[in-house]
Amino acid sequence: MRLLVIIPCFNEQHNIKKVVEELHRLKLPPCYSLSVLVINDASTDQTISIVKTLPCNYLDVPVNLGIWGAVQAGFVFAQRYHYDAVVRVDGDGQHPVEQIPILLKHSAQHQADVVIGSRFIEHNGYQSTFWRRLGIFFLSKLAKTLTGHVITDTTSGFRFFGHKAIALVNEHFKDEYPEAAADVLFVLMGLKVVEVPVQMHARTEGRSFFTLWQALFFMAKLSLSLIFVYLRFKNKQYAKPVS
Amino acid sequence: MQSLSLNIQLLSITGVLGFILLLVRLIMKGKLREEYAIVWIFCAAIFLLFSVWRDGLEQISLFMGVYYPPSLIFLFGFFAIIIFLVHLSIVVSKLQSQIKILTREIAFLKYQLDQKRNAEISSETPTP
Repeated sequence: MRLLVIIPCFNEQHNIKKVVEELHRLKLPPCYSLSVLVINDASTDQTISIVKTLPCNYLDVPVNLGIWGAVQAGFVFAQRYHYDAVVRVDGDGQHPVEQIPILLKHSAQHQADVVIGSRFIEHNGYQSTFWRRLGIFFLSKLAKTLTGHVITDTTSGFRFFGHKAIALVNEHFKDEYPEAAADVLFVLMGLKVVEVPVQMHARTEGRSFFTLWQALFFMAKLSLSLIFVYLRFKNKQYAKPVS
Repeated sequence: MQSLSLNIQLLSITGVLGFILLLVRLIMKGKLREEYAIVWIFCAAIFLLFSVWRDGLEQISLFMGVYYPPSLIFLFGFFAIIIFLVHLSIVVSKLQSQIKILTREIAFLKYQLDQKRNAEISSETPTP
């Protein structure tokens, strides 16, 4: 199985080398062949010059796409170059590379199309800030109300995507991969989405993301995109089976 | 100062709901990004609120010393539109900048490709 690990990153000059090196030290079952793709989202620091020295593929994006655009770029790459599966690891070192085999194991065990590494099933490791957790909880409830499917860590980027998920993302999202809303798409299209507990690390370097206004706006945007993905695909769920 | 007549009330409510429906259709067709709809949805909600709560507009006008309540709606609408237009101008400015950067990057890529092609050609041509 050709596995592509995508690492979207913005200004991660201090973290990116460690993440890539850890990936290459991973011991995976022999059925997986690993490729790494770093997506440099128009960093303003030395990230790209460091990435060029590392043993990985990279996309040097000329204009900032944002995390959703960068992740989408990873999915497009995966489809264009015929990868069977994608694992996303963020460039800031928060996602536990050493626990990728756990995601892979669960995908094989449960025949799952999407495996989400969740911080909140066992509450181990870094649990994020209060406000973020509140937002995540709200989104979780919204998704559950619409689809009946429970996901505790809706905004966890640390995930495994099988080939069906890759196909769906490429088909239905043109410029951006919308975080929580994509889960609604997967569930409505009949994909098997499972969550497994993982322990994430705290941010070792770099600044925290949001001011209050940015956070509120982001939550509104996420909620709206979630609702609209639901509306768009609610009736199509049996119309287009994913082969 | 008169309270909102029933006819106008119904017209307003129908109008706002129709507007929201239009927005929803546009978003579902992928023609409008959700984040730009947020402002319009917010304005529509306010409009709907005062279309239903007939006395509300009157009370607020009274409180603010406005003689003709509908002029508050005009004022609010006017400012909302101005702010939104300024926001759009900012978005367009950013887009323009991004397009220029992308265009320049394409020019550089073409340059690199041409260099490579020329190098290949000159290495293939037998030297006299």
